[in-house]
Amino acid sequence: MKKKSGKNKTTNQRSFYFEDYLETNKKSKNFKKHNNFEDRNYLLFFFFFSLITIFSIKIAYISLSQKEILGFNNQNSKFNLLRRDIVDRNGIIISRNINAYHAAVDPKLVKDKKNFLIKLRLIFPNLPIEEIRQKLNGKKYFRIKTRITQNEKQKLWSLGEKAIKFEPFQARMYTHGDLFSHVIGQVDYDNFGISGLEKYFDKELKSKNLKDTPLELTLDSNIQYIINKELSEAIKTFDASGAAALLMNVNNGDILSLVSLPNFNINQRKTITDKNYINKITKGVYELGSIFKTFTVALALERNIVRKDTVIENIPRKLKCSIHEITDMKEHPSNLSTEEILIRSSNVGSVILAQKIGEDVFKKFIKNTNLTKVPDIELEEVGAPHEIKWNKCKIETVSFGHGITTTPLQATTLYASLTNGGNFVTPSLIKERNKIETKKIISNETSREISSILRQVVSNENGTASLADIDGYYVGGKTGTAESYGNNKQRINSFISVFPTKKPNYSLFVMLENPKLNKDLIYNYRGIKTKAPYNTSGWNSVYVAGKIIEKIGPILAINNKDFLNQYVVEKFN
Amino acid sequence: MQENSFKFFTLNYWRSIDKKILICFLTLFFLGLFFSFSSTSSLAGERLNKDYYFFFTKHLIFTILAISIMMIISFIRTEVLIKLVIPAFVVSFIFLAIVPIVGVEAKGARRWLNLYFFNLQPVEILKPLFILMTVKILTYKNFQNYHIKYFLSFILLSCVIILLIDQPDLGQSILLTSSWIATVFVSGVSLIYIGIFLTIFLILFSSLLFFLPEKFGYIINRLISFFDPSQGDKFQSSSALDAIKLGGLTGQGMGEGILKESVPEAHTDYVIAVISEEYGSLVSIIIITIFLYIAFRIIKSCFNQDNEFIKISLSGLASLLIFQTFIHAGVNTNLLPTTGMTLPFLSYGGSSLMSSAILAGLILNYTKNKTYLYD
Repeated sequence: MKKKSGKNKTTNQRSFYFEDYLETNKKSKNFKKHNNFEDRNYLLFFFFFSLITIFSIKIAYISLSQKEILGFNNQNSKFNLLRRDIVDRNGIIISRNINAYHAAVDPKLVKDKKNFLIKLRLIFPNLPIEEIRQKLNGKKYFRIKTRITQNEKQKLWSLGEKAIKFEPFQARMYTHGDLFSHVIGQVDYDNFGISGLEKYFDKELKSKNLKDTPLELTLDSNIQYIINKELSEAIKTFDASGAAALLMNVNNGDILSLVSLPNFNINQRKTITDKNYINKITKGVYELGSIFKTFTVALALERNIVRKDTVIENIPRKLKCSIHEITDMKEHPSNLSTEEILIRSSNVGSVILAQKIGEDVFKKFIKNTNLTKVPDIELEEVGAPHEIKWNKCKIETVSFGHGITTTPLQATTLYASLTNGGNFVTPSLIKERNKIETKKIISNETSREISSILRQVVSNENGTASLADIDGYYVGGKTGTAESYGNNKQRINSFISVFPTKKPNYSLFVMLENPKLNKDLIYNYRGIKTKAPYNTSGWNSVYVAGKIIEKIGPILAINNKDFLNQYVVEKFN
Repeated sequence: MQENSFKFFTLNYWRSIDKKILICFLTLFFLGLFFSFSSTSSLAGERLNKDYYFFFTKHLIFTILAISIMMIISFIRTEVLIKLVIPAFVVSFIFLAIVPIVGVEAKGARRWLNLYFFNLQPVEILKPLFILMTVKILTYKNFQNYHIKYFLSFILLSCVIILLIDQPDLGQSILLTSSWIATVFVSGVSLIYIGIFLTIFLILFSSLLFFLPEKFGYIINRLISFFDPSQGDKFQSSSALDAIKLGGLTGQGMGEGILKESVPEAHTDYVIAVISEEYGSLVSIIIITIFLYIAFRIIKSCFNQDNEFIKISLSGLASLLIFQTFIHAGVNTNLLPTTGMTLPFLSYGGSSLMSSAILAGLILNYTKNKTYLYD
């Protein structure tokens, strides 16, 4: 105090300075604190600035990144397929596993039941609301709708109800609906194949190693569609109860199309008990009739019993064989050459040829060609033809296709084998299969002769299949009309064609079940407009086959390498 | 005389207020109104079968209300406002506290109070008041030299967080915690304390996840789907990213967006994505920059203030604004795990707008240039 006052005394100025110093000290202290506050605020602002910059960079980066089509970006990435895809020969998807959902409700989590029901009814007006209301009062978890669509899921999900649960599962989708119903088959809810290819190849389709490679079929979706469409039209035109068609590559047995009508949508699960819905090509066992005459003629030629121009004289109108009486529907000249027997489809002529061939040879041939065995195809639905009892008069009826049953698949396979040079082929639906050793059933020579006779069936004016004579495809073939009399009158009109007959590539089988005579249809028969005189396959199945060949011909031709090399000029860009 | 004083008061108000901030706020309100029209019309029309203008009309009414609240708060004398902080905070805290008892549950969380004419989310109102309350504790004269003030404010934070976690509302908890850290940081706390706090927080958070997995399991799910995009349900975030991608820099055009139709709550929680899809990410960046500019103005202004309370409050409120904006924008652009956070001023929703209005009013009030007042 003293010191201070002393100082005060000495220099007034200094005393003033001292006080001022205090003030400055306080100020600077204050200033220091202030500075601290400012520093921290600058730091804080720098932090803000960094946050906003990070955001700006990020959003700019996102908006400049590669644009993908919305909804397709994360579809395949991590989706673990339980079953492989099935594709046709061109890689078009026929069946694929997709992610799907069931919608379920846990009643314990529903807060406002009334509101919940109203919301549900807004989305699904057809739900059994009363039933759900009762279940809501219980405590059990229950499903409100199985297999909901993506759109429905979105709507349900947007309700934001915790109580709605989505149970994920993998559903099998068949992109073509009913088009391949008899071939592909179905799977059950646990992804086990229960019919068709899905069952036959169940193990392979589930194989984890092959997961990413689809199962390639020999079928062609485009051709399948065309044939399906033509057959559906034919059913309407001829008021038939069913129809079937099979297109086969004669050289390797690849099945390009297999249609059996009526068919059903394999995306839906229904129990079908109607026999009409079977796979008529592989499961259906029929007496195919005159189609068998080709086999008789082929055997006769192969055994050198006759040549194709050997004339068989004095063919009777009627032939009695034990209790059966064999006649011809139409009147034929009494002297027919071997090829004319086939062209005119003479029953009696075939019987005479068969009698010349003999029962043993015929038996061996049928055994050799597996005609009456269960067909060898990659499907579960195969029919067993009746065992032939070689009693009296059997060979005579078999020679023109009566008293012998087989599946259309086997008949078509045999036609393919007879016309491809005589190599027996095994039909197949799968592109990659183990090579089976081919066996020769007839010689090249006979095969060529058969092809040319089949061509005449179509092109000759006495032939039964003129309506299938499509310009440019050299169609050959044989008709078959089979009737069964009795309580259930059945009529099977079929036609097996082979084309082009110069060097056969494809064999097409067309069958109509119980067709009726269409009195209004006007045919263009060899340039003459006419109506159908008889209800034989020549006037319906052949007509349908012609229409099919006309439409699928260009598709088949463009895929033909020989044709391409010969006619199509390669385009240089 | 009365008229004269009012005129004087208004003039004074107009001269003292920070007009740049005011313009920014008004711009944001109007942008919100504009975007709400495009982001909610399809929701109203197609999903809820209501008039196309249903949500827009509601939003318009709330915007008008919000602007009035903002103006009223900015009008009130600062001293009065400071005195009102404690009662207002107590009221809003009570609101928050009764939510678990009488609250309305929607979409898995109980966050709302039914106030007949609209559903109030108390935490939205509480947010700005919480910052002020924290600053009040930090600047309380009797605590000036004790560290106990940090502890007290931490207890305050914990009370609020416990109520929020119970709802559950993770996004708001994180927002409040980070704003609290920023406020305490600005008030001059030693950085060691912040370090200690963060450690405690992390331990508490992980133990919560560990001991109560059935209640907080969703947090783990979100974190998993954030760090490993191939797992978990990432529908919303991937949809938002797709939307921004589709929008590009310049956008698809007004009303052309599809995000708002496919993602629920797009009009509240995915506003930035919706805007980016329709108007381009450049517009989004401009909007976010407005927020940054506001923060810049606030911090610049707080250097000129004398009152300790106002200074720290302003920093705290600025942090609240920026953090909320960043959480919203970060979730939209997948920078942060999914959580529902509104964008102040722009998101649809009454509570969010009220919160923004209170925040804006307080900021306008505190940034007033005091030299113009009372002379």
